[in-house]
Amino acid sequence: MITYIRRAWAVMKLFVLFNRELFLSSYAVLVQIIRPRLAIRPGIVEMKTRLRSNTEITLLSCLICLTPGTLTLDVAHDGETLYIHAMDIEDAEELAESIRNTFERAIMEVTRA
Amino acid sequence: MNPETIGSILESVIGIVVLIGALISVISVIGLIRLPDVYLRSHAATKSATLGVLFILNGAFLYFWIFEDHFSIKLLLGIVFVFLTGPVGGHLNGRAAYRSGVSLWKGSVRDDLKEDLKRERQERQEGRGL
Repeated sequence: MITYIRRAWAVMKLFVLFNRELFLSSYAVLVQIIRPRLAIRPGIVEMKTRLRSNTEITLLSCLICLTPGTLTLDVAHDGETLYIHAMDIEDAEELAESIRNTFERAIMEVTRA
Repeated sequence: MNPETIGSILESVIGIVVLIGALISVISVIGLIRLPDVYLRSHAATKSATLGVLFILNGAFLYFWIFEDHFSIKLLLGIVFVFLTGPVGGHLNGRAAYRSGVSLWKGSVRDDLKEDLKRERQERQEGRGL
């Protein structure tokens, strides 16, 4: 029972986190689009994930795809590397780290509660 | 506050929500035209449009719920399916484009997939040769 409630709470947290990310990054992308001069540095970044099962990785790549500014291009056959096309890369490590700290951690709380 | 004032306030709030959705859709269309390559265009097309459609459907849902007393499951299902299909479509577009050799925009700063994809293809060919 307790784990059930904890899992429901984790799902709620993931949902709220996702909505926040959706709004923040939509705003960033929209600003980039209507700026008179394009000042973007797109590129493909690889990201190692700690998630293992198919469900977790599918969920993570769908969430990355839904967030504007990032797009999952491919998943490597080793099942732990995601290739992400990002619209504006300041620091590749930072980008991967922020995904790891937000989505990945929230998904782990849901699936491994 | 009498019910009429509340009603008109709610009505304008819903109007604003729908208007924001429409504006976001317009901006993402501008992005679709302006951005230089297929990957960046898919950012504009799939993502911002998702948010725009989400706003419009939410506005319609609230309107029917508050003013017509009709809890529309169809609109909720619409929101759910936009969320389900949006990322899958975006991912497959990008993957197909990359694997069929569409090059990145010249301003791109890095490409981690290129080497790995080349290696993967080589390994597959060697496997076939054996």
